[in-house]
Amino acid sequence: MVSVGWVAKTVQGSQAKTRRWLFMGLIIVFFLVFGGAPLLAESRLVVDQAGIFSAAEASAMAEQAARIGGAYGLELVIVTTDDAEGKSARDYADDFYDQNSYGVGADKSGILFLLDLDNREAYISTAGSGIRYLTDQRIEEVLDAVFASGLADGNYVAASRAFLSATEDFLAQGIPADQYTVEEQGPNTLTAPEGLAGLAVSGVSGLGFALLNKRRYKGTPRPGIFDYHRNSLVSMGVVADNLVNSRVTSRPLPRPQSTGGPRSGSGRSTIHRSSGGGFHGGGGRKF
Amino acid sequence: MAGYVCDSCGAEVVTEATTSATFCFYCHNPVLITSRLTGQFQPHKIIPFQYDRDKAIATFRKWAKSHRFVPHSFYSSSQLEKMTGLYLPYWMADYDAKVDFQAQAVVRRVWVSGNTEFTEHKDFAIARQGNIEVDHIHELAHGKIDRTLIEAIAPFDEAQTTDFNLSYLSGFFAEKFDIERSIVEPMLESRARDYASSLLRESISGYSEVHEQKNQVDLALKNWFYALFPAWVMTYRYHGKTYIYAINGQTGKAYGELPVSNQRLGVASAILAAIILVLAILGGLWLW
Repeated sequence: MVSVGWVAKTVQGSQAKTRRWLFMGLIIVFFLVFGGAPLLAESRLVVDQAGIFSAAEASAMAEQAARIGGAYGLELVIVTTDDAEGKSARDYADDFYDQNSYGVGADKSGILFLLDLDNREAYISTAGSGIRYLTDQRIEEVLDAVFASGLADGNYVAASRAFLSATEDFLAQGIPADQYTVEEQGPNTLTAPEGLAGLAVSGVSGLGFALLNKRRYKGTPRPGIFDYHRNSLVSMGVVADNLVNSRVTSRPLPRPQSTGGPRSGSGRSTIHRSSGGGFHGGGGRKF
Repeated sequence: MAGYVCDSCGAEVVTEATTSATFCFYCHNPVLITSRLTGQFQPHKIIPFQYDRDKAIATFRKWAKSHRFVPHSFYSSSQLEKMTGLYLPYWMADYDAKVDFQAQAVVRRVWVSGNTEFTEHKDFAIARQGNIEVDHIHELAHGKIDRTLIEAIAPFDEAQTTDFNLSYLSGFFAEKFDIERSIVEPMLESRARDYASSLLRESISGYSEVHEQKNQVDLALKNWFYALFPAWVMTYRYHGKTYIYAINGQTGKAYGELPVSNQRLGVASAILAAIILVLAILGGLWLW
């Protein structure tokens, strides 16, 4: 009986395998017929988890995103969600980007626009050369355009389009000449060296206070100085200050050297480390 | 130590060998030891007490109260009774300096016009001839008193010295000199020379450089005095050490060393250290 059962199972298993192969084959044929590869790539660029775009809007935007991104060697991604899984908009955007392996090239260049309906926040996450193209100031300007198109009134399509066109403008302008990247200060924690330093400062100040007072109580004698002006009388018979000679000399001055001014803040790109370990730039705004 | 007989009760009064005015231990009347106030010990000048006992005590109280870590007993009333008015012996002199000074001096003025810097040099011939009188130069003539302490309550207003009279001493202690004039006189002379040179130099100003060519100072002693200057003195013994506090009996300028209560200072220092540690930990958590 045992052997019969085993045979039956094997037959069932091979039937399921065949069905799975068939299904896979059908999908491959489907994509081949409809020019599948580009379509697959484009559908990655607009991920409408919140279901706020129509299929036509989504594919139009995906096409635009693919065109812009292709021209500048990075990926433009639009993501919507109504469940941020308890994360902040920033963490959600960064993680979504990392976990779905977006980005072009070794530095995974790309720009992700998140419409987070859960946190009510629009967030732009940048990576690779995207960090350099969209400086902090430019991100603010893109967000300005996004909000100007009526995001707060639920105009999500217009907002997304505004993101694409504003980003395209900045990509066309290139990376600013004064662009520089700095890492954001991480959240504060008490580290062991800090604790030790605190202990040292506390000990030194306690001891210092004690010694200072000991010295203060000892007193610092300030010897009185004899006021010889009050106790003297000067009577001069001869007081002469006669000019005997006068001349003027001159020399040419060396030319002054100009010095470079301080660095302006407009080219600054602030980056932070995402949970995936990669660096992201970005900025967001509540709506 | 030497014994003297009190004029009012006949008791024997024992004093230090240099004390010239004190009190009888039995009847508390003032005792003047005239042999220590006559002859070579006869003072010529005196600055009488102008800062009285009440003022001195108030000054001391204020000073002690502004220091939290002194032992409480330090400003008790029994301690304040030890505040003693004391006349200190000084040698004092007036000098006359005949000066003859010549120098070459330069005034330099720099200005910029266009890309050129101009410098104007003006040469002057300077001459000063005349008399500089410096009075009331003085030096403590008592070796037993802590010199730093006494110098710290200086200066006295020397212009207010008056002729000595025995009646100024009653109610106060007084000491006679124990440092001879021959030791002090060269010191005063060299100081007089320095003061005269300073005064002369101050009369020459506004020059970028002064090159001295002749600087002759002929010093002559005009007057020599033995003088008494007033001071309030209080001593305090704490943990085997003697602390002295002194107030200028003329101007009220005070100086002294304060005993420290290690217990009170220790507690305060520990509290401070604890507060800073807490701040450092809070700062470590949120600020840096």
